[in-house]
Amino acid sequence: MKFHVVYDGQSHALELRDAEYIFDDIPGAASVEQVKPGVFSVLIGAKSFRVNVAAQGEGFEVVSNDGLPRTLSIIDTRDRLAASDAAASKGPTVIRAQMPGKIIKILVEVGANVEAGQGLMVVEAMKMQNEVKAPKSGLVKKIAVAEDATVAAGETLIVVE
Amino acid sequence: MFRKVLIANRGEIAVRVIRALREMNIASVAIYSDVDRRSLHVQMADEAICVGPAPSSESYLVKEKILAAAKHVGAEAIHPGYGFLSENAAFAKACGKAKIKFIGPDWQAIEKMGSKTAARRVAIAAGAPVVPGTEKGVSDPKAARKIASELGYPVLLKAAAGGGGKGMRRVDQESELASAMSSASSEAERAFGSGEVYIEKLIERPRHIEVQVLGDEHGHIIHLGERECSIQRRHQKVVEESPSPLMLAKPELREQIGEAALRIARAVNYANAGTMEFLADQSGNFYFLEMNTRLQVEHPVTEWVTGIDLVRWQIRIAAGEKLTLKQEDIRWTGSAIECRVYAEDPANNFFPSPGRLAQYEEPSGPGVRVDGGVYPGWTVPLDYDPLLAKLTVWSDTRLTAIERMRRAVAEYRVLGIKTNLGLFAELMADADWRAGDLDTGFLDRFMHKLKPQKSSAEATVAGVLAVSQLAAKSAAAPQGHEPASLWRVNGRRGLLR
Repeated sequence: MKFHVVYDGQSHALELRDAEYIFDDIPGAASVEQVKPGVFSVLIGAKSFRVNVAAQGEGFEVVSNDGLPRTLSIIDTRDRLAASDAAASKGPTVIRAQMPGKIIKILVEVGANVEAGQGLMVVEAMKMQNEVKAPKSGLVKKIAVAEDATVAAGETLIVVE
Repeated sequence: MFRKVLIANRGEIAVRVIRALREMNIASVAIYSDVDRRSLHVQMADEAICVGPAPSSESYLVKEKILAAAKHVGAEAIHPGYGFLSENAAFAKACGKAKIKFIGPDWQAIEKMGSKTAARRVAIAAGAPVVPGTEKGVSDPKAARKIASELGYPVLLKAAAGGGGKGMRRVDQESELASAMSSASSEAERAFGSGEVYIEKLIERPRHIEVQVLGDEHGHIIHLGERECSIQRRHQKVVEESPSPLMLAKPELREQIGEAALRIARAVNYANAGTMEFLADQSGNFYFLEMNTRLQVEHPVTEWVTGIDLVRWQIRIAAGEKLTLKQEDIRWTGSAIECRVYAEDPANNFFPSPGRLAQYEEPSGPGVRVDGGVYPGWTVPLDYDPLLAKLTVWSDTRLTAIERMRRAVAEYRVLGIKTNLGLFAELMADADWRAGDLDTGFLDRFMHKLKPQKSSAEATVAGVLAVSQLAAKSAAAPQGHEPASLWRVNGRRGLLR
C-alpha cells in the first residue's frame, strides 16, 4: 500500500511492506514499537528515535528527537483535487477563531463594507486581546457569534464575501 | 513556626509553595476556582477550598473570600505567590487585621514601592542611580515637550501604575510626542485605572538585570546577586539566567548593583524576598527601574547558583525567624538558565494555545529542574496566564548550561497544545545568545531571522512510521468514536494484510 503524506509541509510517498519500507523511492528497514500510548520507539536501521504522536484534527501531531512539533497528514489524489478546487473558487471567506477564547467586542455589522485588514472583532484568551482582521475587502455576510460568547479554535466567527 | 499555610495562587507557583511547606512539615491549603478543580495544586495540597467561578476577579482576586477560607481551615499565614494579590497592599493590610500573617513584606513597603514614581523617589533619596526623567506623571503636552527635549530623544513614556509593557511608548521625535502621550495614557487608564504617564530617557540596547534581596524582620538584609532577564517578548520575560553575562565579563558589577539594591531596600525597612529591577547599558552602567515586592517567577535560577531556598526563607522570615545568612557567606556557583514554557503558538504570532495536554513528558536527568503546574490529560484553561512550567538547568559554566538546556528541551514532549519549546531549541544554538550579547530587543530580532528547521529524512521516516503504527492500531479497534479518516481506511487496507 502506498501513501502520500504531508510531513511538516513536505510531500512524501511511503510504501509499507512489513519491516521494510520505501520512502520517496529509497528502501529501508525499520522496527516500530509502541512503548506507551502514543509513544513509539522507532529504529531506522540502527538509528533510534523516540516519537510522540497525537491526533490533531484530520491529521497528526508528531514530536521526534529534535523536540520540535511537526504535523503529518495523509492526502490521496481525490483530496488534492478537492483542495485545489477550494483554493481556486471565489466567494464567501469564512473567518475562524485562531484560538479558543471569548468574544470581547464585535466591531462591524452584517451588511457593512469592510476593507482588507480592517478589524472585525476582538477575541480574548489568557489575558491577551487579539483583533480579528478582514483577510480581504468585501461585504459582511454573516456574524456567527455574539459578544461575551466563548469560542473554540476553528469555530466560524464571521463570513466576508 | 506556622502549622498551616494557605496559598492564594494557582498553577506552578502554588505547587512550588506546597512543596516547600511539605518539606517544612507545614500543612498546605490550596484555593481554586471552578475551572481549576482538577488542577495539580489542588491534588497536591493537604486541603483545598473553592473560592468561586473562573474569572479571577470573582475568585483568586477576592480578598474577603480568601481570608474567609483561611479562617475556615485555621491557616495562620497566607503565601500570595506572584501576580494576583501578591503586590496588593490592601490585602496585606487585611491579612494583618484578620491576624493572619501575610508571607511577604509589610503593607507599607508594598504600597510605597508599588508606585513606580514613589519607588523612584525612594531610590534617588537612597543614592541609587535611576534613568534620567520625570519623577511625576506629566499630562500637559507643552511641559512634556520641554522635558523630552531636555532629556534628548529618544524618550520612553511609561504608565506610573503599570507594568508588563502596557501604557509604554517609544518616542523618537517631538512630532510623535503628543499622540504617543494620549494613546499611552488611555491604555494605562484602561489597564490600571490610572492614566498617569511619566517620561524617561530611553537607554539604547538596554539589558534587563535584577537583584534578589532577602531581609528579615529584625533589620538584617542581604542580596543574592543578579538575574539577567533580557530575553523578553512584548515586555514579558521568556528566558532568565544567573549570573548575567555582563557580570561574567565584569565581576565587580555584582557588588555595585547589589549594594545599590540594598540601599533602596533599607530605605523602606524591607523584609522578606524582593527584587530590584535595573536597566543596564552595554558598558555596564545601571539604573534602578522598579521593585517587585514579592517572589519572582524566575527565582529558581538564584536558588540554584546560591544554593538558597527562597520560598523556605520567605516562610521562616514571616514566622519571625532571623535570617542567619551573612552577605560575606553568599557564594555563586556555576550558571543557571530558566526557560518559561508557555501554552502559545509560535507559528501563529505566539497567540495563547489553551486546550488538552494529549501528551506531556517533562525532562529530567543531571542539572534539570522543572517547576510545573500541569499533567498529561489536563485541559489548560483559557482564563489564566499561559505559563505551563519553568524549565531550569544548572551547569558549571554558561556554555555547558546552554548545552544542557538544549538536551532538556529535546526531552520535553508536549502534544495537544502548542508551546514555545521549539523556540528554545533554536535559541540555544544561536551564536549571539551563546556569546551573551543580549538586550531586551534580542528576541524580536532573533525571531525575524529564524528559519524553519527541516526535519531530517530519517526523522521524517520515523515520524511517518510511528503514525502508520498508530493508524494500524486504531484500525484494529474500529469501535473508536471518531469518524474513520481516509488515513485510517487506508491504514486498515494497507496494514492489516
